Formats: sequence, C-alpha cells, structure tokens
Amino acid sequence: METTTTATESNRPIKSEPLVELRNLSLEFHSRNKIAKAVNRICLEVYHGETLAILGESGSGKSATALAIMGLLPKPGGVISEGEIFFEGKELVRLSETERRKLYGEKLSIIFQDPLSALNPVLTVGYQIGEALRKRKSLSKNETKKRVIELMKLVRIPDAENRYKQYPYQFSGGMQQRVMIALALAMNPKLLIADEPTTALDVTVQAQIMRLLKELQERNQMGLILISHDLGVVAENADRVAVMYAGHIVEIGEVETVFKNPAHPYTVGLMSSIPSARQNGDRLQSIEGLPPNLADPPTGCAFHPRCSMATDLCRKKEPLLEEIAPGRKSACHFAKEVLNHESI
Amino acid sequence: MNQSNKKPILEVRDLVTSFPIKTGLFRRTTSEVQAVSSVSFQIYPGETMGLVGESGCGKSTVARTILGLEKSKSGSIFFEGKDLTKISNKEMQVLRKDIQLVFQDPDASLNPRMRVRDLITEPWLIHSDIVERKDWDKEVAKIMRLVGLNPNSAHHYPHQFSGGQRQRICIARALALRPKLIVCDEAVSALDVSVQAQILNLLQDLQKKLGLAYLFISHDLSVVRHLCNKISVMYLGKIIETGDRDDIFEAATHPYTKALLSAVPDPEPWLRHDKDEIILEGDIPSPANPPSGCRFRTRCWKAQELCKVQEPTLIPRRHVGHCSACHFPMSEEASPESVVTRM
Repeated sequence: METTTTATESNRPIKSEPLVELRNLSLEFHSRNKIAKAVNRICLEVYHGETLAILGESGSGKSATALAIMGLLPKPGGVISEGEIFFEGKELVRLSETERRKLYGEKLSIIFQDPLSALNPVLTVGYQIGEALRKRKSLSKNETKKRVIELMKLVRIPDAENRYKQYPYQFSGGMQQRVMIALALAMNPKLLIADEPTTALDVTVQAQIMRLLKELQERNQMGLILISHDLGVVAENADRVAVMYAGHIVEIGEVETVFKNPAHPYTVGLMSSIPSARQNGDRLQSIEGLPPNLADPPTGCAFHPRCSMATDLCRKKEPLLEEIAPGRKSACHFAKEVLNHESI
Repeated sequence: MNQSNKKPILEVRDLVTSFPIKTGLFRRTTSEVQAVSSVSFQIYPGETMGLVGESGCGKSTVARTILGLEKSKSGSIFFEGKDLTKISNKEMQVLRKDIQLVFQDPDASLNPRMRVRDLITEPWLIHSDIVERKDWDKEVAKIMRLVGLNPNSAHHYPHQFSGGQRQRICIARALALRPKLIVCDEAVSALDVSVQAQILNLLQDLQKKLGLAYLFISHDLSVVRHLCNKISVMYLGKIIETGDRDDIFEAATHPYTKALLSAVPDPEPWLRHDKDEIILEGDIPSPANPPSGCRFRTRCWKAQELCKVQEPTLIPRRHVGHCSACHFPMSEEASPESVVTRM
C-alpha cells in the first residue's frame, strides 16, 4: 500500500488515490414524451475510510447518483448520458457485464431505506445473508452458516444462532436494517452506499444503526457514501458533504465548515429552515417557492427562482462548481459574498 | 399565559383505548392490546400541545380516539366541558366540526378525483349552517389565500400540486369548518425540510390569526420544540413525562426523555458541550405484552428491582416543576456529573 497521508485539521488520513471518482456524471430519465435531467455533470471523489454525505431534498438527484454508481438505474428509462465513474481506477460505466458482476457486491455494496422491501419475505434471513458467500466463495454449507452467524453477531443481532432460521417479518425495523447491513458487508466491500439508511427508523434506533455503521466503517476502512435529507444525521456522521439541488452539486466541503459558514444560498436556506432542538426559535426562515421541474429546468442557475440574491447574471449564466477555499467548492456567482455575509 | 382563569378546551382524563387480539378459527377475542393506557392531559385555547414518542407508543391512537375514530374503553374526553365518550352520535356530529384533523400523508387524505374547490366545500355539505351556498366561492378563495394557495387554482386536481401545497389543501379543508382545535398527526413529517418550514410557519400564523389550539403529534423533537408550548412524552401507551416545553428540553427527568433527546441528530454537533450521548439498547417491547412494572425498564440503564415490581406514577418533580413517571428520576444533583466535556 503506497499511500501518502496528509494530516488535515481532523487528522483524518486522506489517501492520494480516490476510491471512487465521478467525472462530469449526468443522468437522465426518459419517459414517453419528456426527458428529466436528474443529475447534471457532477464531480465527486470518495476516499478510503471516508464518509461523504450527499445532502438534498427529494428530487435533488442524490439517490439517482447512488443507483448510477451501483449500476442499478431503472431500465428502461434511466440513462447515464455523460461522464465516467471510476472505482479504484477502473471505469464502471462501460464495463462488460461479467466484470461488472464480479465487482458489484464484492467491492461495492448498497443498503436502502426500507429493509422490508429489500429483503425476500419467503427466504430465511440466514439464507439471504449467505447468498453472496455461497455464490462467490463456494463455501461449504457449514462454513457459510458459520460465517453468516459471525456476520449477524458483527451487526449485533442478539441470539444469532436461532434467528438465523427466522424470516424477515419476525424482525423489527431496526433488526431488519441490521440484516441488510450484514448482507451488504458479507464480502467485505470497499465502498458502502447507504441510501437514507435510517429514515424509516425511530430516533433511538437510528442512533444505534448510525453508531454501528460508523464502527464497521472504521473496522474495514470502508469508504461510505451516506445519502440523507437530514442535516442532523449528516452533521453527526459525515466527514465531507456534497449539497445537491435540482441535479447539481451546489456546494461541497468539510461538514463543519460548510454547516458553520455555507457558501451557497441554498445551503444557507436549508440551514435556517430547520427548527433547532437546542434552542427555541421564533419563525423559521423558509426558502420560498418550490424546487424546479427537472423536465423543464430554469435557465442559468437552477436555484435562481428561489434565491433572494439572484441577479440577471444568475438568470443567464449557469455557475460552475469552483474552488473557493482549499477543499471547498461552491456553484454560485456570489459565493464570496455569501461566505462573508452571515445573514442573507 | 394565565391558565388559572382559563378553561381547557380539551381535557383527556384516564383515557384507555384497546384493540382486541383475535385468534383461532372463530376469531375469538383472546386478549387485547392497550394502545393507550390511562392517558391524561389538557389543552388550553390558543395553545399547542405536543405529543411525542416513537412508533407504536400510542400517540396516533390518542388522536383517533379524541376524534371518535376509535372507541375508548374507559376514561373521558371533555371538549369544552362535554364528555365526548358519553354523548350521542347526533351531538357528536355537531361537535366534530370544532375538532379537525390533518394527517401525515396528503395524498392519502385527498380524493384524487375531486377538485380543490370541491374538497374544501365538501364539509359544508354536511354542516350546512356554516357558509351559505351562494358564498361558497368567495369563502373558498378566502381560505385558499389564508393557507397560501392561489385561489385561481381552485379548479385543479390534487395531483397538479406539490406535496407541500397538497398539505396546504388539507389544512384549508380542516379550516373550512372554523374549528377550535386542530389535531395534526405527523402533519409535516412527510415533507422536505424547506417545505416543512413553510408549513410550520403557516400553522403558527393561523394560530395567531384564528386563536386555534393544536394537538401536535410528532416523532420529531426539534419540530415539537419549535411549535409547542407543552409537551407530553409517550412510551408504550403511557405518558411518562409532561410539562412546559422548556422544562422538558432543559430539565428532563425521565431516562427515556433524556435518551430521546440525546438521540436526535444534531445539525451542529460541534456546539454541543455536554455530550453525554445515551444510546438505548434494544427495541420497544410489544404493547400486547408490556413489561411488568415500569414499561421502560427493559431498555433503561437505571432500572432496579423496584421498577420490575411497581409501576411508577406520573408525579410532580418539585425541583423542575413538571411531572414524570419514574422511580429513579434524573435529579438535579445527577446532572453535573453527566456533563462530560468532549475533547
């Protein structure tokens, strides 16, 4: 392993070679008479052992990005119209089917929001967790079982020996999500994508699952892409955050710096529209209006119809995601002004 | 707020709601689940009461029982002095216009084949004395403006609106009967944060303008803190702590409330200095077979033998000024030790 570790503020090792890299990735959804541009030329990197959060509201393209990385875009309809996805230097978009199969599940894995719809209701939990092991490692029956029980213990499912034989409906929501995590980790992947992993769970269970994910990530030095709409979950669990709006990355950087001092009006709006559990607030500063229709996006900056700072420039010219500070990018013509003025 | 000379608009006393468990060939009732077991609280006019808890704690059943959608087993619900559990259906029909409900999912509560105008006017067909038929269009436009919808879209169907706008239609419909109390059952939980903020602001504005009382049911503590004056925390069908908002957030005494507050993801974790993170083990037990004694004891780190034997009652805690049900409440002297600075 030849890795150059640079010590950042938080002493998090960054390895020079990214684990995953998206280059100018664009995704489209084709329906009978229209094309929705779900994701527009986004660039991202995720490093070993790092948690990158993709934060956005519904329809911002965060889940579509995850599906594209996993090669799971709905067919027909979902199309990668532009760009490349590199995983350990290997291009994924134009990979042959056999090579793709080898990679997915073994090195890249995903867990979804709703574990009950992701698990097969008529197969035992143990069988489903062991599926990848049987197919890929051709382990014997006993060896598989042993390994599955190990995995179930790893994700802290109590009484694993007996629950091995149970069906998904016999598990609570939190336990089902643990099963999904065990399933995703069966082959020790290098990258785990967690698409809203705790959104369907209660807060006390959410806390358990997020802690578990963190521990497992540290153990295996996995790269983790955490997709969420919850600013709290992102702030507590991610190293870096990419904020998405209407298919664009509008801002990216270290979580703490982005949240403390956002450099895009949308992030500012997002931060001020959440009620705080820490203090009592008066009135929330909501973002006026609605996200745009992706089949008919506005000209220029996608956020300009809802932005209080918008000028003619914003209506005409699309801002590019540009570096405004080391490790910090924003796609706003007035990023500097937003940074310097606390309140807009 | 001078509550001493005000009468509560809604008073729930020892409410019990249970569901039968039917088994076997003849679907005989073999036992029952007490979804709500002896819950009491009051709501005053112009006030917002928050009912918080995790899924299965019975908070929605409380709402449904108040509205008469479920039958209570015992206890009473006084609305402006009248006991809703004892009055006839006819009387209930008249009273029901004063209590309206907004659900979590606007898609499920709006008929997709009805235009907005028809959705809003539908309640007036039943309660014909509220608005005269010739004034309907004028009144619809007024209500739509009140909730921030464009009156010109009165002839559109629900699918032509976004999720947030659809929730506004639901609120408009609830307002059509000029209620005194609105029960919001997870009314903002399905919305994106920026839209959620708009709806929360709307609810606050309406309260100021119309003097409404809200019973706000939510699992989201930050939303509850933002909107509510009073908060009751439920666990497995029981209220385990209740009090003014600030008391609950600043000086919770029940371990479950503490754990719940600690589990809320914090958008600014770097500001937190008292990081005594509590992560509960295990899941909520089944309400069909609740633990003996204190219902929280199976997940509580302070549980002792007493908790197994005796159920704690909701009693006032003198040093904080609100009520909680715990044998070993988090006391004032316990709090400094739990303040661990994060380095």
